[in-house]
Amino acid sequence: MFTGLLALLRKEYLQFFRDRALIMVVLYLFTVDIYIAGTGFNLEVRNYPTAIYDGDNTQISVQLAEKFRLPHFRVTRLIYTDSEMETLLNEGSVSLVVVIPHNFARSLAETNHAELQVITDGTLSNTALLALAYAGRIAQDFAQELGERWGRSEAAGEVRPQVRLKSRIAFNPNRKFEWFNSLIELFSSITVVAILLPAAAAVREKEAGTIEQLLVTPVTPMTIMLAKVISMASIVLTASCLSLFLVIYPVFNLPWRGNLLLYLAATALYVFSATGVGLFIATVSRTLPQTILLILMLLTPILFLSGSWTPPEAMPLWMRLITYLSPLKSYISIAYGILLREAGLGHLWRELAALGLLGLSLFGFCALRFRQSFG
Amino acid sequence: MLLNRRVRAVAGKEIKEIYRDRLYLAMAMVVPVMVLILFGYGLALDVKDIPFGVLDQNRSSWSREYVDRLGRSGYFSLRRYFLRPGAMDEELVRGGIRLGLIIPPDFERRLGLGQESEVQALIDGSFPDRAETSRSYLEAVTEAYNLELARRGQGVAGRGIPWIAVQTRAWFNADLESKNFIVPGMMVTILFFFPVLLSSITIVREKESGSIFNIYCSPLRRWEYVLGKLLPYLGLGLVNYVMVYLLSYYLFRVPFRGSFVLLTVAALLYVGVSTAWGLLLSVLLRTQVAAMLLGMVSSVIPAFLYSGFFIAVNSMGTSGRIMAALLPPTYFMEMVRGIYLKGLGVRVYWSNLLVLLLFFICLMALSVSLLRKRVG
Repeated sequence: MFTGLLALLRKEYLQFFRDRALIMVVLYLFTVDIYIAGTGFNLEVRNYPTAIYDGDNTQISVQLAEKFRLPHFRVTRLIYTDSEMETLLNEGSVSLVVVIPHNFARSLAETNHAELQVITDGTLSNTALLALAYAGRIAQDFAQELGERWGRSEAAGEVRPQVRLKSRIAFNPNRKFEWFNSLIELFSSITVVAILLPAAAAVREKEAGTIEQLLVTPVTPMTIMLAKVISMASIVLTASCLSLFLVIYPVFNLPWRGNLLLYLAATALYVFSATGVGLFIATVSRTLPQTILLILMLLTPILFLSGSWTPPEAMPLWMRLITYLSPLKSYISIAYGILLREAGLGHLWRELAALGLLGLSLFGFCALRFRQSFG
Repeated sequence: MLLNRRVRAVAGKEIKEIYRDRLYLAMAMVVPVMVLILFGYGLALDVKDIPFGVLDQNRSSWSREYVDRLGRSGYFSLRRYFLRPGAMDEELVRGGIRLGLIIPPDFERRLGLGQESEVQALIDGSFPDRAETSRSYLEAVTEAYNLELARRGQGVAGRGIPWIAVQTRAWFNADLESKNFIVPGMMVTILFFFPVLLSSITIVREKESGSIFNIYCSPLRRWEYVLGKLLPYLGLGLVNYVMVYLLSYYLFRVPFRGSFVLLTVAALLYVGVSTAWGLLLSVLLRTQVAAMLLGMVSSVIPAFLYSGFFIAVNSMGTSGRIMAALLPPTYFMEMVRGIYLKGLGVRVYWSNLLVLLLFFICLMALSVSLLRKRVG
C-alpha cells in the first residue's frame, strides 16, 4: 500500500510539474491575481459620479453642494435643467443627482426645515443604496453644522432625550477592503484549483484509458484517490503560503493574528473536501466536456453564494439550506475566524466537523462508485 | 464564400460530436439555466436580517423597546440576549452574530430625565461592506427612535437643530431590487464563461488525442478550421441566450424596456467574442487541463468581479479599471443593463458594439495566426 502510494504520488507530481502552462496559471492565481483583487475594487462607494442641480443658488446651497466630495462622490457636472439630468442619468455618465430646490435656504432659515432631493441610478442597487445612505449622512451633518453656526443647537434649546450611538467596528476597524478582497480571492483560488485540477485530471485518465492500467495494478482505488488528495493538498498549501507571505501579509499589511498552523491545518482539511467535490464530478461524468459543465454548475455557485459576496441571511430559506452543502461556506467562517477574529478550535469545531464530514461522504461515494465509473 | 464546403465539414463534424453525446447536449442546455436560477434567487445583495445580540444591562421596558425597534426594522434579526460581555464577544468571534449592542444600566433613567444615553455597538468588520451597511442602518433606526423620543418628550422639537429631509428616488429600478440587476448581469457572465470553457478544450483535445494530424495533412486552411470550430459553439451560445432571456422575462419578471433586436445582435457578437477567446486558449495551450484552468481563471472570476456585475467600475482602483477595460463582459454589461432597465438604443451603444466587434476580429485573427499546421 505504502510503496504504491509513493509511486502514485511521484506520478501526480511529475504530471503537474511537467505542464509549464499549468504551473504558470497556478502561480498567477496565487500571486498576481490576489494582488489585483486586493487593490482592484472595493464594495464601498468611491468616486460616485455625481451632478449637482442647484435650483436655489444661494450661499447655503453652494455650501451644501460642496459637501459632496471625494472620496465618496466625484462631482463632475453642474446642471440647470431637467432634461440635462435625464440625459446624464440615461447615458450613465452620472449616477447621482443632488437636486437642491428653489427657496432651500429661505425655508431653512424661516421654518427650520427644508427638503433635498437625491436621485440615483438604481441599476446597481447595492451601490445605489450605499450612496443614498452617504448622501443622507451628509445632509444630516450639514444641518448639524448649520445649527451650531446659527446658535440653534440643543444647548440653546431645551434638553432632549437622545440615544447616542457609539459604534466600533471590530476585527477590521478601518474597514480595509484589501484584507477582505485578497483573502476572498485566495479562498477562490484554492477552491478553483482544488476542484478543477483533480476532476479534469481524473476524467482525462478515464478518457485516455490510463486509469484502467492503474486498476489492474495492486493499488486500491482508495490509494489512487489518496495520492490525488495528498498531492493536491501539498500543492495548494505551498501556493497558499506563497500568497500569504509574499502578498497578503507584506503588501496588504494583514495583522499577524490567529494561529497560522491551525489555519494551514484547516486549509488542508478544506482541500480534502474540495478535492472530494472534484473527484465526485469526475466519478459522475464520462467525458471532459461533461466535466466542464458539471464544474461550472457546482463551482460558480460555490464561489459566489457561500456567503462571501452575499449575506446568507438575505437568501430565501431553500437557498440557504443548499449553501450548507458548499465546503467553502464552512471554510470562509473558519478562515476569517482564525485570521481576523483570532478564533480557536473551541469556536470553530462545528465548521471543521462539517468540512470533514462533507469530505468523508464525498470520498465514500467515490470509493463505492470507483470501479463502475472508472473500470 | 465564408461558409465554404470545408468550413461546413469541420462544423458538421463538431456538431455531430456534440449531438452524439446526448448527456452533454442536454447539460449544455440545462446547466446555464440552473446557474441562472441559483444566482437569481441566491445572489441577494440586499442587507437584511443581520444577526445581532444584545447585552442589556438596563432590562427596562425602554431598552426592550429600542431593541424591538431594531428587530422590527427588517434590517436586523435578534439572535439572543447575553448576560455578560465576555459571552457576547465570544459569539462575535465565532461568527454567530455580526452586531453586538451594549445598553448601559442607566439607559431608562437618563432618557427619562431628558439626557443622553450612550449605546455601544460592536460590529464585525470581517466583511467591510456589510459592516458599513449595518452601521448606516443602525444609525437610521436610532435616529428615528430619537425623533420619536423628542416628540414624546416635548411635542415638536421646537427651534432645535435645523432639519433637512432627504427625499430619495432611484431611477430605472425604483424599488432598488437587486434581482433587476443580478439577472441581466447573469446573462453577461453566463454567456461569457460557458462558451469560453466549452470551446477552450476543442482544439487541445484534438492535439492530445492526436486527431489533429488529420487536420495537418488535409487541404483545410487554418481560418477554415477555426471558423468551423467556432460556429457550433456560437449556435449553442445563442440557444443559451434565448433561454436566459425568456427566464429573465417570465420567471424573474425583470422589466425589459429596450429593443430585443439590438440585444440579440449584441449577444451574437458577444458570444462570438467569448467563443473566440476559448478557441485562442485552445490554440495556445498543449493540455486540456491547463486550457480548462486558464479558461476558468480568465472567465468566471473576472466576469463577476471586474465587469461591473456588482461593483461599479468607477469606484474601482487602477488595476481594477485596467482589468475592466480589458474584459469584453464590461462592454456587454453596460449594454445589457441599459437595454433592460433604461430602454436605450443603438445611438448610445454603437461604440460598445464596435469594441465587441474589434475584440472578435482580434481574437479570431490571433487564433488563426497562432495555429500551427505542423508537428511540434
